[in-house]
Amino acid sequence: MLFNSLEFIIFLTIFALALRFATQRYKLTLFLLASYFFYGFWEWKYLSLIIFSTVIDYFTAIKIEDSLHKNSKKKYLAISVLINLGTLAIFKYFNFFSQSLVDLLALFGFKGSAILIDVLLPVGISFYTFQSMSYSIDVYRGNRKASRSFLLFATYVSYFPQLVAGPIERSDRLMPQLINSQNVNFKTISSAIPLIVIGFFKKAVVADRLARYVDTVHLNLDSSNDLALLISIYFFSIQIYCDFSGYTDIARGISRLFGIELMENFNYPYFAKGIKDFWSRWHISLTTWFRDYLYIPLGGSQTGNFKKYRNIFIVFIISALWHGANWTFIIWGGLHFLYYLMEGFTEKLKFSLPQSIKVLITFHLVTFAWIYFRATDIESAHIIIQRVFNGVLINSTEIAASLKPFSSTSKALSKFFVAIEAIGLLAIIEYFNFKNLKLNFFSRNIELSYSFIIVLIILFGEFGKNNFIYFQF
Amino acid sequence: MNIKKVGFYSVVLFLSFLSLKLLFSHHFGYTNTGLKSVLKNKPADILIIGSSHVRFSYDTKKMEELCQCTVRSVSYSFLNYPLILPILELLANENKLPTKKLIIDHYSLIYFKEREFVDTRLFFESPLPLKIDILSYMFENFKKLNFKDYFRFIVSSENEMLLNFPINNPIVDSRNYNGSYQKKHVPSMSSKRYQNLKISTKHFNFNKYSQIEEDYLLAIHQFIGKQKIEYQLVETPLPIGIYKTPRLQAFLNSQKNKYSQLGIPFIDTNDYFEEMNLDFKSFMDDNHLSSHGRIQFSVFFTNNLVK
Repeated sequence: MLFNSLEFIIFLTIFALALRFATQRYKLTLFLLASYFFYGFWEWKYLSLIIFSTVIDYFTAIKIEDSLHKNSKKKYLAISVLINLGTLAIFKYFNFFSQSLVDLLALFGFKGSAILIDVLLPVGISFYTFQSMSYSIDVYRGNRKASRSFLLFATYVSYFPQLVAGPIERSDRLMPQLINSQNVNFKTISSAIPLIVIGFFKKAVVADRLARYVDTVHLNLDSSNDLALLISIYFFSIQIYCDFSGYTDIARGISRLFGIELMENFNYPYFAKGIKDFWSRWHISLTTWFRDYLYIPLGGSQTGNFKKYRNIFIVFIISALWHGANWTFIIWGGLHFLYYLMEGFTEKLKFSLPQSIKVLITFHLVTFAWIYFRATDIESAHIIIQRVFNGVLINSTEIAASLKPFSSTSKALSKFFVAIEAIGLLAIIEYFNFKNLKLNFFSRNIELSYSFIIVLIILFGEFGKNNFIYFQF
Repeated sequence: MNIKKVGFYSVVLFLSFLSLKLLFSHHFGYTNTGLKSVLKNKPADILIIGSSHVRFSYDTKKMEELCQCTVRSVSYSFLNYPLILPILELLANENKLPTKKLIIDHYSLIYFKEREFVDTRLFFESPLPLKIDILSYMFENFKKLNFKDYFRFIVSSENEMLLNFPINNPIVDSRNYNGSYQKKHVPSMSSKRYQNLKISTKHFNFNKYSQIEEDYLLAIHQFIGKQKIEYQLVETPLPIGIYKTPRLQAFLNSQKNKYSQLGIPFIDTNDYFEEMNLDFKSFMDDNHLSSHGRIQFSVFFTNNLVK
């Protein structure tokens, strides 16, 4: 069930109405049932997986808290972490590691075939296992008390607005809000509308429009010309931001309908002035998760330069693997580590570039790394890079050919223009918000401005066709 | 933020846009191709109207050079007789029917085609009365369409063209001439593909004959009779493998007899396949001519069947 589908609107309306008639006591039950229905709508069989993970973490957390000895606490934490990571390993990484092992052995002359399992990757598995795992770790560290309410904990793990693609919430933020949720009313709708509208604009008008182009180019690498490849690189960079941050905005907006504030996951990442800055603005809930539960436990930056960079390397590689079991993701993570190293080195040099140049350089470095992230395999990524860096011919014939992924008819040109206009409008909105600038007309006519964006979404949006990219993770 | 105001403004903005689009969208069409090009210019000597076959088959510039007359074409994907009739009525009302000859595309396979969407560009470029005719035709015949389809058709389609007409239209217009491609190169298919062409059973079903096409063809015949202009029904060339399909052959033969009895002037240009020197290089796909084939066909057609 996609946020941008009719099914979801019906589901949300029914749920909001039911919530209105439910007493506070039954609201959590309603949230849980709705969340399970929402998840089961994709693949009901995988509901058992989320329930399994919930049950394990619920009981291990209680055991951790109740255990008197550190060793017992450790043992229960290990059970929680191993089961969560084990589930991920089986469903997400088994085939990758099995195939990689066979490929490695082949290098030494051992021939064999990989054992592969035929399973569908459960939607959002990386998100909810991390959310659930962070709870067990927090209880172990004594940062929070184990919840004695299974209902509350199960709702925390499966809360539908952020279940399938985050933000990855922490229990100390979300659980108290779940207990005090509100009915949908004019006040909550008013606070939700700006996020939902901007989120839908990013997703339906920008991301899905660009997705059509990018997907067509990647499906037809041989027949696409070099200019189309170059355009698709930039388009994907914008697409993935609009797709993921659009999803987060909608999720946060929907959650606000019930008076629940989810954490910010994006803070204008493409205005970042460096790679460190970028990672403090991109997918913040995951970055802070890795900081708190991996980087700091590894020693963080307190143990000397070598160990600091080793820790950062580990974080980047695991973060890359979190996104998917493919060497393309590992190269993507490796590139970001390299950028990080280079940034550390250039920081020591005594020259400074203008801010706008730094932003531009960071954007291009990030965009380059996305080539690996988007490519189906390393070979395809290399073909794209090779062709683009060998020089792109720009003349009227090449331009006409590069528009074909939008449409083979005369509509291609206007579709291309609309894509550029939508990106431009979004860039202006983001820039004004980033700089905290206010245009008098829009500030005074805030309702009219949002109405205008709503109409743009209706007129130029692409609905019900594309999944959110991060659902696959 | 006042949510009621947002709702109110959104509805007002949306309805205003929709009303304006329905009333005035035809002013934003291309001037060198499509309905607007016919309505905005003086009546041509020869007007060709029909499906995509028209823009792929007739080179209006070449034809003008050869016949020393003005030639214009109007084509929309899957344009069929029930929609050609209201277009002709509109042109008659606006005194834009051709002065010498009207050529109507005879798209045999459309008699066996599942009813699909009307070309959204036709709807966009139509004045309001024609828009209403198109919608009523769709309501009557397109039983499978639902609210979402109509919403897309009326609200979402061609907004890109509307938004960008000042930049987009001059560029597209510069690539066309009187309704036919000028600068667009339509590539030829390979010899191997040409040899293995078959009629797509996904799109065309010989067991489902559409009587409505024939009824409207008769209505067009009667309408043109009243206008007292000369007209010709023309089947454009098809790849030999497609054309020789027994069911299509049988259909064409029976239609030829029927048309002859009814006095409908019909030319099957496939009868001149060899004279036109058509081969695999002349076709882009199973239905359309390539740039090379367009010139071959236009020269032969003008020299032998128009002059």
